[in-house]
Amino acid sequence: MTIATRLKLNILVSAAVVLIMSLAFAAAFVLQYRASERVGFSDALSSGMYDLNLLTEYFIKYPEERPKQQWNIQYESLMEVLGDASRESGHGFLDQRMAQGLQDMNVLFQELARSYERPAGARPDDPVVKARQEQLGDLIILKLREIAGITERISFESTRDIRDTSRSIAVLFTVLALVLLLLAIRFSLRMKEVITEPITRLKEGTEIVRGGDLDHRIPVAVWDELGQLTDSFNGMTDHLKATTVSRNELMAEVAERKAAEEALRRQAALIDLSPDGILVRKLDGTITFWNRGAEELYGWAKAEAVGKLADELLHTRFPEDVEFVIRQLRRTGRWTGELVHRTRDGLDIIVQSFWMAQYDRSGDISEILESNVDITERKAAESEIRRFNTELEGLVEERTAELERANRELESFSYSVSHDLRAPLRAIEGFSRILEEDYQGSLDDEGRRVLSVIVDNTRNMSKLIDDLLAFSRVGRYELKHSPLDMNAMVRAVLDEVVPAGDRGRISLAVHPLLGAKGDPALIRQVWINLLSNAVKFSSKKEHPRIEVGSRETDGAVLYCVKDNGAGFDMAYGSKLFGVFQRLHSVKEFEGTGVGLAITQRIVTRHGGRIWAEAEPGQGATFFFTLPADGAGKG
Amino acid sequence: MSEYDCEDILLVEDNPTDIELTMRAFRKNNLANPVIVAEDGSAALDYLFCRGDYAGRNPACLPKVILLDLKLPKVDGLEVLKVIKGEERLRMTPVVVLTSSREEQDIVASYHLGVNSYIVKPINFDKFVDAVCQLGLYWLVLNQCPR
Repeated sequence: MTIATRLKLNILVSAAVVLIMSLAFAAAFVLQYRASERVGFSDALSSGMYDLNLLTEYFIKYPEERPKQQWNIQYESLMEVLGDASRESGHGFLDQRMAQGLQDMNVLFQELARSYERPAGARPDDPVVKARQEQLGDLIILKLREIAGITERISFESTRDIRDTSRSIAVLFTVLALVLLLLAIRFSLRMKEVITEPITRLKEGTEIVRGGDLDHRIPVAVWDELGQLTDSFNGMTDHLKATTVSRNELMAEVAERKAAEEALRRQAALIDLSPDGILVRKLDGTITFWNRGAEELYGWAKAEAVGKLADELLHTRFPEDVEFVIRQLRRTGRWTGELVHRTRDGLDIIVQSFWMAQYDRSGDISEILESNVDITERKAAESEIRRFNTELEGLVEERTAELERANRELESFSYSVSHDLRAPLRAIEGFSRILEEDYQGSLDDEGRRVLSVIVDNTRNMSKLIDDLLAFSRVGRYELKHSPLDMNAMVRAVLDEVVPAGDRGRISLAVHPLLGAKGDPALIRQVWINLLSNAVKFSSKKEHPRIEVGSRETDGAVLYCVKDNGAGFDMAYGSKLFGVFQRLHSVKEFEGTGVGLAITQRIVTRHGGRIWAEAEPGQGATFFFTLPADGAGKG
Repeated sequence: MSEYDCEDILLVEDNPTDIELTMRAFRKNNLANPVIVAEDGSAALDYLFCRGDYAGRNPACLPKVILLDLKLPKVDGLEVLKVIKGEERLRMTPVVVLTSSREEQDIVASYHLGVNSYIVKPINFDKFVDAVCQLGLYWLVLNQCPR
């Protein structure tokens, strides 16, 4: 039940109480009025009776016409008063008795009156009449007294009525006042419960909320106006809380944004430090930022440049269509290229330009950061280098052509050697033999010795030519790379180069070898040369010893062949791999001095390296590397 | 068209020493077959095609084997080989290249053109004689040519 309803109800109850009280008041008034009226009536009756009593006595004394008429009038008047009183009700029984008494008295009086109107013949002093008259007079007096008693009674009752009425009214008013008092107490108690307590709670709640506790909610006991007010207040608190939270967020965002702006300002200051010419342009080309680097690069001050159209200010020449640049910016967010810009002094400079797009919320390009580095000098240097390169290329081509020519000459030379040098040799050899065979008898011992020297040298020369040709062939040979099984290869080569008679004498130590990649025929030649050298140079030792091993080194495989033979002086090590270079005399060890040159050529052509370590009389160790076959240990 | 007109061996060789050594080797091995020597490629082709100096020769008479040097004046050996192997009438005739060159390219080119044998002349005379002996024995005695 709402407070308004309560108040309305209270007003209605109060109005009802007032109405009841008014009615009671009116009723009391009416009762009082009636009672007082009856008192007045009984007074009138009393005085009327008194007058009638006097007139009756007067008539008895003086039975004349005039008192009789006065009596009659008085009687009529009394009857009238009595009639009025009877109509007003009240004491009907007494009134009837009084009216009866009066009528009886009237009958008596009229009889008395008639007794005095004697016909002319009657005697006035008749005793019978006289006795009757006296009797009648007494009867009347008696009647009068009876009526006066009734009047007394009426007067008494009227007075009693007034007293009773007054008491009733007092009692009624007392009761009403008590009821009103009770109602008032009940009302105020209810009001305290319904209004004061919720208001107190509301007040306390608002104090708590004002204190900052936005989570406090006031309980709603009754869904009346205060309940609604409390609910509204709770709602308001909710809203306030939400607002406070969003306000806090807003504050945080504001602080964040301030920090970001500060960072931006610092960055802008940093950008100013950049020696590059950095500018920010809108999509239409309007400059919005211009750093110190740009001022220095182009000669335009910041104030002059900002607001201008970049490409008009700098007379930009693009390497491609501007539309294409913008399209690429839209697609990838960046563009880079070389631009030609004009400085304030009218000088054209070449810049390396980096463009980066900045997008707005709708994803459109809002601004473009353009960073320009002066590369004019670099470009000049580059073109110089290009010119040099072109020249160099020409030179290289020329040299290559020369080399190719030389190579061709070398080829035709070796071809000639193989043909033309052999033929005379064959002739010398052949004809020496003919001389030997056909002219045996004509030659003495010295002659035959000289002839044999000729034949030996021819053979030597033939060997030299063969080796030389082999050496030149290695250079021209086209390599065929394949994985090599070094263990098998070394075994086969040793079978070939170790003379059958020396097998027991030479101690061979061949460790498991790693695989490599190379041309099988040529690498086999390498092993042949190195191992036959080892056999050859250790052949004069009592216990020749040859060791072969390998290990991995920097993506390549290192092989070594070690002997305990003649060795050599490291001082001449540089001559070791030269063509026709020999560190031992032919008498000591035969050979042409081409073998190691060929070996080196083969290893070098495979991208490897070859070297040797040795000590005279202690033996030599030859090392060479080859690219690994990529299959790990073989 | 006497039997004499038909030589068994056509030796194409420009070096007179080599000619002499070769003839001596034939002799030493008792190979008595008649030999005709052409000192350059052009002369060899004239002989085979019966023209020039050999215009009157019987074209039906072909050598049993042609010994061909590669390095020759005028028309070189490979050129001669090419013509021989390209000619229907001559294609059957065995051609043995007898040369000083050990060059791979020469060997490959010769076989490519259809040579029947490739022999490097040894410098050592004994070996030379031995080689010629084997060559003669093989091509003139053992080898059967379609008739």
